[in-house]
Amino acid sequence: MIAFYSYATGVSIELPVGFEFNGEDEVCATYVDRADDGPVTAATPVVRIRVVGEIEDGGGRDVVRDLADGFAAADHQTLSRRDREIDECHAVTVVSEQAGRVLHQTAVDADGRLLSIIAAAPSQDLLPSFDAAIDSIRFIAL
Amino acid sequence: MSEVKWTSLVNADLLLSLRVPLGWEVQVVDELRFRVFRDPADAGDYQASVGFVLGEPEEPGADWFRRFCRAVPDELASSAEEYELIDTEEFVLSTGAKVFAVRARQHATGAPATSQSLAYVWANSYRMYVVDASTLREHERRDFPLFDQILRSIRVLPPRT
Repeated sequence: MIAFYSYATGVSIELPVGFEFNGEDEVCATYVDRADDGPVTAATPVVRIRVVGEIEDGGGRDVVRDLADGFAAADHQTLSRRDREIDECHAVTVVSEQAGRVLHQTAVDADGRLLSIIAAAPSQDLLPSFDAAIDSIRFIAL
Repeated sequence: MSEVKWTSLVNADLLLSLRVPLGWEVQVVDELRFRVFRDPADAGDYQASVGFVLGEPEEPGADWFRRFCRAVPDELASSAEEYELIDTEEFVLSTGAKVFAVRARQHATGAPATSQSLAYVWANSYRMYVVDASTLREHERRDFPLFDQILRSIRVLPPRT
């Protein structure tokens, strides 16, 4: 595993060997799998971490649930949904399929910030790795 | 034995993230060093602990770190009282930092017999950390696995650019 940290998101995450930092802006960091050394295409496995916004006191569970509901959109086939803890923060992960892509999407209340972590791949092979990556996350405010 | 719960710890001065057993005390010494202590203390008020110190390699380049590590066991054996080397280990952290760890037992005059883990974490030519852990000899089996987990949990964070 390779660890990445983004000052934009305040997230440290471990991803499988082959993933590389692909860019960031003020609220989002993206990592792509370059294991095959080929060009980045629509089929390239990707992990995107985004700061969605601030959470008002006490509203964490509701906004996490609402964002997770959005992940389970009508045009997706939901494969699983589960509550979890990431670095002692409440989160919900929804796994779905859409147009031949497998989406592993997580909403989390990261100490008052709502974050989404969206991983996508062309098959379910990377799902265990995506789950491990989510468990590896640390929220680090520097 | 009860299961150990873990929590994340960050030191922004040292740019280190790590995991430590829940409930351990953190003592920041200065902007270059901090230490975490098992709580409660063992008999005789001895607290097993792990210290972290930020330094700079004497020379740039990974070759210097390799040479440095090769010399460490002999230097420790010649400078410490009643020193018994257990083993050494090299591995790489998920952030790419190279680690050289030495586990040993020591019994200095007037001090309790201890078991220690000393590790050097080479991040790059400008940043190196010394991680020293110590516990009473009778708690070696209890604490060495914790020391190892703490060491392997380290993530060296990048400086803000």
